[in-house]
Amino acid sequence: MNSIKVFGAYSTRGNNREPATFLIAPSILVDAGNILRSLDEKIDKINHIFLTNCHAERFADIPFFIDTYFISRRTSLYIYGLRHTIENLKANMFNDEIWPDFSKIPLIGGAPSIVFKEIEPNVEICVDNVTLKPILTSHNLPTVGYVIQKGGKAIYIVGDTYKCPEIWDEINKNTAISAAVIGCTYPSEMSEFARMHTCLTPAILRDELKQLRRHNLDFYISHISPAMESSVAYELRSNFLTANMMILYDGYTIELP
Amino acid sequence: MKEKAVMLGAYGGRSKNRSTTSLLLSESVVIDAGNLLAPLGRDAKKLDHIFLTHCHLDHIFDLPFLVESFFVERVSPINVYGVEHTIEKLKANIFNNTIWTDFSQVALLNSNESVLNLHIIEPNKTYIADGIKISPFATTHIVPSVGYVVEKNGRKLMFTSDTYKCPAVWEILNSDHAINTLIIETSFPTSMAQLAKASGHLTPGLLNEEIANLDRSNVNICINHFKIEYMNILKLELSNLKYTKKARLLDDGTEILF
Repeated sequence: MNSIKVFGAYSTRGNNREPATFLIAPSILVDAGNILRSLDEKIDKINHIFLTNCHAERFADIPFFIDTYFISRRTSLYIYGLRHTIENLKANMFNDEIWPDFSKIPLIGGAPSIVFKEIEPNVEICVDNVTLKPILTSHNLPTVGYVIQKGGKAIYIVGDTYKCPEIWDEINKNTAISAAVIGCTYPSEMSEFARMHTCLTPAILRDELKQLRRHNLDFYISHISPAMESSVAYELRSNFLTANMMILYDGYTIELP
Repeated sequence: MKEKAVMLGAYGGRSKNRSTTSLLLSESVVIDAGNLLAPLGRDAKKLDHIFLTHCHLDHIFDLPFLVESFFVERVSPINVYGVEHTIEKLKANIFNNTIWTDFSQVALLNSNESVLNLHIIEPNKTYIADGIKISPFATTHIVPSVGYVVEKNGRKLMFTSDTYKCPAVWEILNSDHAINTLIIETSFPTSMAQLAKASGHLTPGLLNEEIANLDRSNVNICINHFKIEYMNILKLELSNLKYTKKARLLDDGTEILF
């Protein structure tokens, strides 16, 4: 099955919307803002979570996921992220104050319940026949997106970003990429706010797309702010979306072409 | 006339349809922030006072998302109250400009006031919010934690939040007969007493022993903070013990009249 389940499509939680979270394969998740409220029942097979950065909405459900499934798990939960991401997760979340440090708590059978793995930009990681290449974005804290190769097809989940030429370089030169998920968070009239928060608006994204040299790929718009959803979606729908673009929503299934 | 509180989140974990601790006291006052956005929807914007019992994630989970959802629309700050340890951890680990924006340093759009005000409270003092008197008392958990005695129009309720055996709970209840409702916790099965002790929680067996300390028979006992994975055995055990079998087991959304 060459598809990706969207557990959450938005920039954050609120207004009945879930933060961007993608089930790449039964065992692999990119970001973890919503695991437990996904419509998909088969979350007990998740063993690998690749984080894009250390904001709360990216990892929000990991503490509850490991706590609730602790008793039934026999294999470690691997959490991948940049050094900054992993260090902040350890210091601020799994610190025996906000939440127990599960990396020190073995599962029944002895395997550690959580294993943190630091990743390097541009260094590919292969798990369960899926290859993930982290690529730095331009954001106000260290952030990566992932080019994900699966069954001969590749999808690029860009992650939180502001203007970032490296994204378009990657898409232009890696012709295996047949779909891309890119964020567009605030309405164009909030361009200064978007610049401060290093997120895109429809107008800035339109400018960014001028760097694209390939047109044979599908674009999915993600990371819309739940509080600004109506204005961002209105702007995108009125004069922006082309035939190969759609706005993602919670629960959607992306089929790789 | 009886007063009402609503248990917005009654569990010690999150799942598809179960949520972590929040006890709504009025449309603007709540204890703990485990589950606010989903049950309250747009009404969550009316929350002005959030009293935290301690810094564990299941009690603060919705706080960053609540502040972010409404800071553009709000005209007055969100006030968050906790003991010194709780407030320090919120500042150091959550609102630290890395995990989340430090909204205590962000001004409201139409005012010089901050979006978020963090207040340190002390046990055994009384605080008033929206006409409700709220008195924290120290409990027995693995991080500094408080329960609260709540007084609304002369009616009194006690919410212990997370705790292991705690003599103060029974001393207060035995001395203040105006408190007619107790919301206390049970997290793990009786066979896991060791884990319960190590993590600062109660089991049905421990709670049964604890209630034996109560000199009064006119206290309505409600139980929350069940660990989801042990729900069935907890129900079974609680229904078979002398002092817990009449207790009311809370669910998300349960209304408590006191």
